[in-house]
Amino acid sequence: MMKFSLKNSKVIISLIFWVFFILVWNEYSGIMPVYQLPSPLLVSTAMIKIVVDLDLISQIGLSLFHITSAMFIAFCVGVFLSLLPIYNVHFEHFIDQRLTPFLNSFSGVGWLFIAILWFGINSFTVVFAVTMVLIPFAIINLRTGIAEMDSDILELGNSLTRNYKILLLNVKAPMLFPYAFATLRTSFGVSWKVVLTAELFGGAGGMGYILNKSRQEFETEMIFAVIAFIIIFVIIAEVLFFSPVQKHLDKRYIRD
Amino acid sequence: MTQIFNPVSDMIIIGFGVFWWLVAKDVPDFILPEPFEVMRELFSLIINPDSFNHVFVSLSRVLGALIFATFISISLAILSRTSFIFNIIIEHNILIVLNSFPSIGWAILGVVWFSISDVTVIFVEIMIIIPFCLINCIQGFRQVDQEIKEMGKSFSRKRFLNFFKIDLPLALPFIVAGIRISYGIAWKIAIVAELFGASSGLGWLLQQAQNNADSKKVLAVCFLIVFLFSVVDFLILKPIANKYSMSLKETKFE
Repeated sequence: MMKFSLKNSKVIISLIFWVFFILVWNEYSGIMPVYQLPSPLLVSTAMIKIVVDLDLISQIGLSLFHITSAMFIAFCVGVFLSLLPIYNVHFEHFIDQRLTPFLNSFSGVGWLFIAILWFGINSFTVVFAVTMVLIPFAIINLRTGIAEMDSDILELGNSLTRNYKILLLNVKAPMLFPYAFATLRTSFGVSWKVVLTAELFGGAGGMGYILNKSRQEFETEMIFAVIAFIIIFVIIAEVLFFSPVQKHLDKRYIRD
Repeated sequence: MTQIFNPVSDMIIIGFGVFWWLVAKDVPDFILPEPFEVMRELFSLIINPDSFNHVFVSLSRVLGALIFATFISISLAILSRTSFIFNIIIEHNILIVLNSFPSIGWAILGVVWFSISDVTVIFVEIMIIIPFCLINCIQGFRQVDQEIKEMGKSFSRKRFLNFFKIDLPLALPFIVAGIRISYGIAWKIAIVAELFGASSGLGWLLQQAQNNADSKKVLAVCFLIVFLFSVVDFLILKPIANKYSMSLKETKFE
């Protein structure tokens, strides 16, 4: 009962805050030029336009395709690079001390411009640039997962069987599930931040393309609508999917 | 202990350099320049006063944005600890929205609101790095040991004194970690601000090089950013982070 009322008060406070925010925005937009600050009504009209316009919906689909492809490739490359030191210990220093810090500090815009020069303006360029930004996040998360593996459980597994396949599937992989999922979760958050930049400069479509078109035509309400759409989408994905699944995996596979 | 030289790592890097050189030999310069050409370009970026000015401008903007973002994040984190309502508003609403806000969105809005200027770039960089800083600041102040806080209150009721002598030092390891992450993000993602909102800086230089299909300069600027990130992180931020995490450990052991 107590928990329920606490949750309720959280929702009520949040609602009051956002109503207050929209009212202030509405008042302030009245004294500002439309191209600088469109009213909430104009922005919501533009959001409805995105939902009902099939062409705009297909652009959202293209952005989602770019993100899921980049997440999948970055995850596979991340798994390969983070497992490499397990099979050959000589690679440990290279992966942890050279490659990861280098990729982690390489500018996302740099990857994008290099990709444009190499592959031209197309979807492959966007996927390549986003993948290169995501790879260090995948390596860091998965390497942490490998380092945090419970040695007692590994020893117990070794005492029960020496079959490498069984050990990998029944002992090691389940212990890595929470970290693998955390990798996907982080990648999803970061990829939305960078995919629009990649599409704006290097893509022939996607939400970044809509953003660029709106910017050139001074349709600020469409810029606001695209941003609002992304924020709502990311929050819904986080609250309804990533957060509950992560909690379940942590509870199921991580030992205190 | 970080090992500076490692034969296997160094061999892989040298091998990669040779592979790059072999590929670049048969490929046009605008697609893949030779590694030596890129190194020469990198060197000229550092010694040429005009180019160095861009480095200085970008570094100043990043550091300026970092200082402002840290100050704003600490203030918001303190405010969120003062009452339940502020905590819900800041942690469960403002932080979540800022964290999901696309970086290019800030860059475009920055130019629409403030046109092309230094203020625009710093504003955009602040808005991009604030969520990374704020998460750590909130976590830092939350982790402060309540027993130590109570002990502080028994010595003095002055809030100001308690904050600077107890809360802030105990939250510092988290704040410094947040600053380190934010500094990396500023170079990695926030440099996008200079593509739209400035006519100077490394982001601008990168775009000029891309417009001229000068891949030598694009790669040289990218390596320069890696260098700037690594040097400041290794020489300034990492020692500060180690110092504060050590002092926290000592406090706990006592």
